[in-house]
Amino acid sequence: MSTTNALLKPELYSAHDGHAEAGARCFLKGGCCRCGFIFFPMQRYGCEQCGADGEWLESYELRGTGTLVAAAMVHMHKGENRRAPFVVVSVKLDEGPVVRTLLEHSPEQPVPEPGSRVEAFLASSENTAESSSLDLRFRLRTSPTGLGAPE
Amino acid sequence: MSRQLNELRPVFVVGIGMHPYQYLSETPYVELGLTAVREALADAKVEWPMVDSAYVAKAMLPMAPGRPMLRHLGSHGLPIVHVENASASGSSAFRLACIEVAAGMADLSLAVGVDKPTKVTRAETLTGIPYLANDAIVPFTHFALLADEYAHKHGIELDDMARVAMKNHRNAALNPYAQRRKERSLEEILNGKQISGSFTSLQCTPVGEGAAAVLVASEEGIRRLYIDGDRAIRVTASAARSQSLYENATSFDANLTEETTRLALQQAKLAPQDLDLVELHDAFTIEELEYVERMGLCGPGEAIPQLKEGVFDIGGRCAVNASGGLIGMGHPIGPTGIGQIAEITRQLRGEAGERQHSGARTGLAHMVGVGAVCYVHVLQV
Repeated sequence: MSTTNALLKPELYSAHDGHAEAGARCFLKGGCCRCGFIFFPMQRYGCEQCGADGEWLESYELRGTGTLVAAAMVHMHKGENRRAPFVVVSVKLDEGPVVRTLLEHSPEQPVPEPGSRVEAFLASSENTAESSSLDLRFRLRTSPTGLGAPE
Repeated sequence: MSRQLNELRPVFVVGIGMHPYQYLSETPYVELGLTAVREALADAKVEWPMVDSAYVAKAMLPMAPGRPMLRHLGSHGLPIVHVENASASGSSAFRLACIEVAAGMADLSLAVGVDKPTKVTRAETLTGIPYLANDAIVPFTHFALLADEYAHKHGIELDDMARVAMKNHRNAALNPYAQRRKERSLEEILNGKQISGSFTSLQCTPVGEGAAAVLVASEEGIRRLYIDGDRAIRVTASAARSQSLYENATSFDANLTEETTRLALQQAKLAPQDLDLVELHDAFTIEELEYVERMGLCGPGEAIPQLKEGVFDIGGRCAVNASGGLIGMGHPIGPTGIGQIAEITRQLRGEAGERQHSGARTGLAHMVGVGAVCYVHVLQV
């Protein structure tokens, strides 16, 4: 199986060193070569800042590290592809864009505080139809001063 | 050079009507809408054939519900326009009716909003652009994240946000058109069903149905149709904007609110402190806090302390959501923005009964809609 096939949304992220394994670090991407605007998610319709389209818009590697802006534990969810409770986070990436997705979190842990350092990684998808796929999640970043502590 | 609404012919709200907002029922939308329109016609003391045009706001009903409803008032061939602009559909229909009258193309125009809950797909999910986890970040979670961010930024207790809901449930209990007509204690609100983040169900707007109608007229229309000018309320500003790029991208609704409100107040030549009444889009408690601050009713981080002091109560410095707002009165989508205009008109006429804000002379109506768009209107005695 190729790396690309293993990712649930390969248009949005890629695996570090091309190895799409659970737990591996990964990168987000999206940007405009004409005006330098960095955005997420990647798209080629047109740059929201300058209107450039097509070839001007290229995948742009982001490190996938950032600072937690907000977190919320979701108690009610109607979709069949994931079960509540789960934790959703807003993360300001070190390159600027704010992205939102799920945080790796066990129910007995408190929801992390804004300011915590986080990193993107690949986790097994909860989507039952795509159970073999890997999807992007955030997790608290380990640092010398403690899990998720500001660096 | 473009011109603003108050540089054209003066426009007045001359008739208001409502069908109470309620939980989904078997009542056909036609009955909801006709109830509101007939009440507005009776309020203005005009006959249906006198109405020059109709703008029908809806966001959830299927295509073209207007004529199958309005034909039962008599088919005299008036132009009908359907308006869909998400939560701001009603506000958008009202603006279009005002513009038509102000431009001199009509002397009496109807804006009516009617809706019933149905499963609707947001076009944003059909763009072909993939997102990380949009299915997990529905509106209540988007605003729960903003609530967490606000609480940490200003050092407030998340539980204090529930005071917004307590005020708005209290106001709605006095409103015969409200979907939720029960006063709630802080404990009841906090101990309700958990939804997302700090939100419980009573801190979120309910899903529902209903209708609201407003008739707007020119001075010539008021004279020619023998409408009581003493009960007419002038629309002194109409402003509309859509989302642009902001430094704090996730707070786009608050940024839009600040920008659009500033334009509306400039148009009406007013300062935020001149406002006696504000009806704003409080689908979730955090919205009211962010919007009163961005509108300039108080400084950053001051909304909770001022809420506790009663500044935004009926009888306070500026009554915010005297109707009960979206949390208490409800948010049937299409009618909501027009229902706000009806509430402000009722208040400025001094006809709001138990929830009358004494001495009210200036009111502002505000709606945001997904997309995102923002509409603000100012009404004055």
